[in-house]
Amino acid sequence: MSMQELLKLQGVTKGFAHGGGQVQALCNIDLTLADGEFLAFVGASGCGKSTLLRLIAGLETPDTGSITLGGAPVAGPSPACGMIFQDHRLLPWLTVAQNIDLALENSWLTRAERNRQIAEHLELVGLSAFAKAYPRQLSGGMAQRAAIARGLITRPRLLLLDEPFSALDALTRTRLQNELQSIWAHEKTAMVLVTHDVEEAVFLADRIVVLAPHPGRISNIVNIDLPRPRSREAAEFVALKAGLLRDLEAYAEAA
Amino acid sequence: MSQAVNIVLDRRQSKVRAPSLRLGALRGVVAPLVLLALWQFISARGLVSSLVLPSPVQVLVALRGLAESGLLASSIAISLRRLFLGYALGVAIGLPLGVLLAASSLARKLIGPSFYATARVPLLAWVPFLMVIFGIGEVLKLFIIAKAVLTPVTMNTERAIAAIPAGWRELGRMYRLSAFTSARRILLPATILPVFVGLRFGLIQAWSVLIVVELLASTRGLGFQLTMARQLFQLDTMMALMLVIGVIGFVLDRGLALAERVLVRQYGGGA
Amino acid sequence: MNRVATLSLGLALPLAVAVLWQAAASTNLIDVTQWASPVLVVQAFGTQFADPQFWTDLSDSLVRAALGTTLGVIAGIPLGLVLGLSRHVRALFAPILDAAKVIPFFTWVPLLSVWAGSGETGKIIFIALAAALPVLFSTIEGVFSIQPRHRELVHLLRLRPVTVLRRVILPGAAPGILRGVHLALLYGWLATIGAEYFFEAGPGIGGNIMGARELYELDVVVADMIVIGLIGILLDILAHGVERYWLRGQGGHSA
Repeated sequence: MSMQELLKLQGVTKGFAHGGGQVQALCNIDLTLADGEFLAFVGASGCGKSTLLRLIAGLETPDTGSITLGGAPVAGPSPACGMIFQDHRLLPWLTVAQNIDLALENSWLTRAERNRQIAEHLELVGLSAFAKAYPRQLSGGMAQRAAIARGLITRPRLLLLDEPFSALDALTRTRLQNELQSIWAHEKTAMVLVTHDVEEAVFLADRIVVLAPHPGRISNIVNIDLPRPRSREAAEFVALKAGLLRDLEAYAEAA
Repeated sequence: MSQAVNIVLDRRQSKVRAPSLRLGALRGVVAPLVLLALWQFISARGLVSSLVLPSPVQVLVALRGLAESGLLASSIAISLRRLFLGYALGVAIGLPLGVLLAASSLARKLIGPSFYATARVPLLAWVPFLMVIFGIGEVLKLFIIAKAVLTPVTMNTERAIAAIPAGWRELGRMYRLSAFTSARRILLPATILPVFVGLRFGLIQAWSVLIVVELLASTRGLGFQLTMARQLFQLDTMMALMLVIGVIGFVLDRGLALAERVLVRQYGGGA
Repeated sequence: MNRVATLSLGLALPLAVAVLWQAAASTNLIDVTQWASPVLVVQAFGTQFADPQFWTDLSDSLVRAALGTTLGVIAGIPLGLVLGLSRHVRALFAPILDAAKVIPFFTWVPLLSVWAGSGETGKIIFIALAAALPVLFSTIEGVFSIQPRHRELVHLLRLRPVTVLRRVILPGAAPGILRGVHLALLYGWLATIGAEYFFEAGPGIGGNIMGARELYELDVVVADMIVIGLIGILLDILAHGVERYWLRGQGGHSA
């Protein structure tokens, strides 16, 4: 894993008009992410973690500050950055394969090469048998896997995941966390995960950025030095999780 | 490029009716005004023969002529009278019929198939049939309008009653409400909206059919005047009459739409 | 109640009417030349079906309907797409469209007969207009039914407008478009009959039924009425079938 700097945020602020006045969603965010690193944002609702992700993705622009990806400023969505949402956002009238193919619309690959890539990524997420299925035929977990395949097929340098598993049941969630872990280890794509599930963050991330709300700001960055694959029952794991939960509670009370 | 995409899939997809209380309303007025101005320009400059396209001014003059001669008022009166009579008849038959079909499974099996079969035959196909039976007098208009109203009113009423959740109907029994109270407190509020939709649709249908019949088989009324003007090649009069017909239809529809909105506020959020 | 009983109950009323009618005719309670009788109606069916002229007339009507409806659909879909997608165009034309909705359609007949003549052209244009309106409105609704979050996906994947049209807009609006075409088929048929009533007499079943009316041939009128109704039903079934086929496999379409 190279320590080359991939993503850099400097002095980023973002506000929204709400009701009569201005709401400060994010305030002075400074952050760097290295190539292949797995970062997680945790925080209570209202801390702006989803907004932060959308800024990185280029779906919104910061009021002040700069965001650079791979050295270039982020001016809008780019193939170097993929995104997964909480709802899978697969188009209901396309098959799984066609949905993944959609991400390759702007690529210069030949049809044959595209099919090969699609097949490869379907295999990666374990959906090879469902290439021709329609989204409504898939379970929530399978649909998210398809979304992940779509997110990765452009071989982005960074994959953003906005609470990808929170709409799924606990068992599926655990399973998908494990799978995401293996995919990350295999693809070596840098990932930024937004989640309200602290355990999920401790399981997956190299570093956890704790955000406090009102206004959204970084309150703490915790390094998770545990070796992978991680055990959710290990003492160190549990301790880290407990510590983070305490931090979050403190902020929830202070809010 | 994302700009193009933003235009292509616009987020604030407002309804076709331009919002009447916001800036969009101005835009909505612009197009017709522009078209009107264009129209006036084209005909005033004689770019198109006034025999084919009279100018808006000419249309208004023709309208005034109709009004002054009293022909407009009398035609409107005749047409509207036919409309309301036929509508009343259609509703008077349609509402009870709808209730009957919903309430009695025997009625549904006995009358239902025949009703729906005849409903499938388009109104227009009924016209010659009714013309043979009733001639081309007032009775024809009455019955054909009634038929036009009957179908949507009956169907909507039946559906509305059938759609009342069984739980609500049980409430009446549970609290041992009299049939009258049940009807007033439960049945009516629960069905009034969809029934009203049927009533509204019926009115529009009725107005359309009336015009058709007046165009085809009448010696009085707005439709007849339109046919006359057509035969005399008086395009300005034709357009004036079309305007009147359209306005009346519009007013009728909007009137009921307003009533519907009032009802929604009272009884909305129902079944 | 078993099916046979239900069926016989359903037929009871029409049969009773037919029997009474026939009885009144046979016993000369009513003047058969004026009021016809079920037997005469059946005979009229027979005579017509045996007459090749009838079939020519019917096919003339159907061809007219097909031509006009096709024209209307071809015009209506692109217009509907444009209006559905562009808020500005829609705001511009909203009042005109609202007015078009409430002006009884047949009000246009006299004017159209002046502008386009009373011949075939006028009829076809009339039918096309009658078909175009429902297609237009339904297509607009179809576009509206495309979920806004799909818009974000389009932005994220930076799809080109052509791709957006092909992969997102058209399939997304498809249910609305198909519903519009369905209505267009029905209204087109209606408009065909109406056109044959109003415009100059020409071959066609509408002309037939009017001719029979003028001769007070109630039996022919009833027979033709039933034919017209049957064709309407057939068109309805056809349209339903097309809708179901096109949207198969997609199930909860607005997912």
